[in-house]
Amino acid sequence: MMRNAVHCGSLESERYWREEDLASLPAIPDAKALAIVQAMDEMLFVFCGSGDVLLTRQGMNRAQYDYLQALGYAFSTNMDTLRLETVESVPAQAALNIFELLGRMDAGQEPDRLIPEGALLEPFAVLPGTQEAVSRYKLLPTLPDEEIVRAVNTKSYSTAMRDRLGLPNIAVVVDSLEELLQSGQALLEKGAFLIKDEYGVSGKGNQLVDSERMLRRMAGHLESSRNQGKRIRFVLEPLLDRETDFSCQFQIDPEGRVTLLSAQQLVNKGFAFGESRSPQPSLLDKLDKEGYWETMHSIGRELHADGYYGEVCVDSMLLRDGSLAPLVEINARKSMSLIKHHVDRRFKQEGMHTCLIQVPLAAMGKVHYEELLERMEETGILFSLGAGEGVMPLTSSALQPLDPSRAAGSTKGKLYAALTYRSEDSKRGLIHTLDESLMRTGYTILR
Amino acid sequence: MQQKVIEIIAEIKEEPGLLQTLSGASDLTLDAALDSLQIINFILRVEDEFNIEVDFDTFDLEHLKSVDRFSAYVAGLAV
Repeated sequence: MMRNAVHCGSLESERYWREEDLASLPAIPDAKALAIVQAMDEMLFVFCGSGDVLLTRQGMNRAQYDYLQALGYAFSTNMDTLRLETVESVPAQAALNIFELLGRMDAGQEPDRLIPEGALLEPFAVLPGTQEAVSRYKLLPTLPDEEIVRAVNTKSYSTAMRDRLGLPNIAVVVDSLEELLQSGQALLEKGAFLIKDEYGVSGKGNQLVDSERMLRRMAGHLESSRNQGKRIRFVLEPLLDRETDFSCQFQIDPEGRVTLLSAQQLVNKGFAFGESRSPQPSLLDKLDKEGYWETMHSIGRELHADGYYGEVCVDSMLLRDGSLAPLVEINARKSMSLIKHHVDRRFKQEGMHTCLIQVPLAAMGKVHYEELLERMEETGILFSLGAGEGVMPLTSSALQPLDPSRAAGSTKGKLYAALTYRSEDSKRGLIHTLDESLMRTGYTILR
Repeated sequence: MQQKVIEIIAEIKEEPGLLQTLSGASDLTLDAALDSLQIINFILRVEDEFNIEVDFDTFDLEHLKSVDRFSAYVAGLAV
């Protein structure tokens, strides 16, 4: 019997895996950035089959829901924000991941009505609280142990995996300030290096060190954390001379069978605008020749031997000298690249290119998402079935997430969208018209 | 100091055009659109430039509301 699935998750998984006693690199707590990433869970609709349930933290915008139904997605979802009735503190609630939130909600609320008993839980990642949510809603768990998931997502696990597979390993794990300074000095003699947090993600938790002064500054910052009882553990890696970032998505079933799903290339244009697209044929050719896929299979086998199964995204790099760094890091969870792959699987047309883009935004006062969809339709760029080219928005509430501080003034948000286009020219045209539609609706583009 | 702060923002963003568009009233995360990683690198550059040290554990995001407010904060640390 095919069981329906319940899809939900917190895309900032690393935040919840991170142990509280780990010392952190300099960072600025940003509640607005957290609110955006929390609202990005809407994108998990791409994994929904017919009759599945999607639970999102903020609740999907009705116009977005109708648009997705018109594209053929047939899932049910909550329209209201998931919140605890009994917790008075909004920031305390914002600190919970979606499973902790679901596990603590009073009976009789929207999730109780939506979730069929005995459905399969399809999380973005296994987090603290996932098992509690499974028992609270009588879901079927075929999920790996939380502690195993936590362990295999550390940078030091990825580092050890290179040794296990006999891959070149340039990383050093440090467990004290003395080791950090000593190994850091040695690395600096050859050039700049990165200090990587155990649970760092792109754009957060990596610090570039290019001088002794910077090394001492980082050590000084960490010293005060250590004096407050925090544990030092980082991975140091020489800065690789990167040509291209790409990643491989695969799945490990509970019996250990590894299925490769896709590879996606990440293109950085400036700082705040990244996009993922299908790799160039020349890159795929290189991966075939250099045994890249076999390495991915081996990583899958080793992960399973350690007790993990489920989705995996391995980050890789092509370097300027033409060599491959197949294992930069293992992400034992679903991923943005997997989201891109699922959109492709459903909509990719012959002779068309696809990519996934993000547009950082700000808005003053209330902006109405449905007006954006209307404008996109009027200007002919809204993707529809049989339309060929177009822009398909993947997020609605993330454009103007609920501000946990409830401060007046501007809100920051993000639009994620999948583009289908024939040529680079037509892609530029789509992005230009999208930008205009966003601005005319009242959003400022932060790029 | 205001001018130097704007120069560092333009350098971090790799956008020389910001030298013309930013002013003392500009918000660092909205008008200058510094993201969280860029803010760290910006602050570390400012530390170097003005020979100060910021305590990241207690840093208040309010200091980023304008170039003038941030400059006043830095001036306070430099005393």
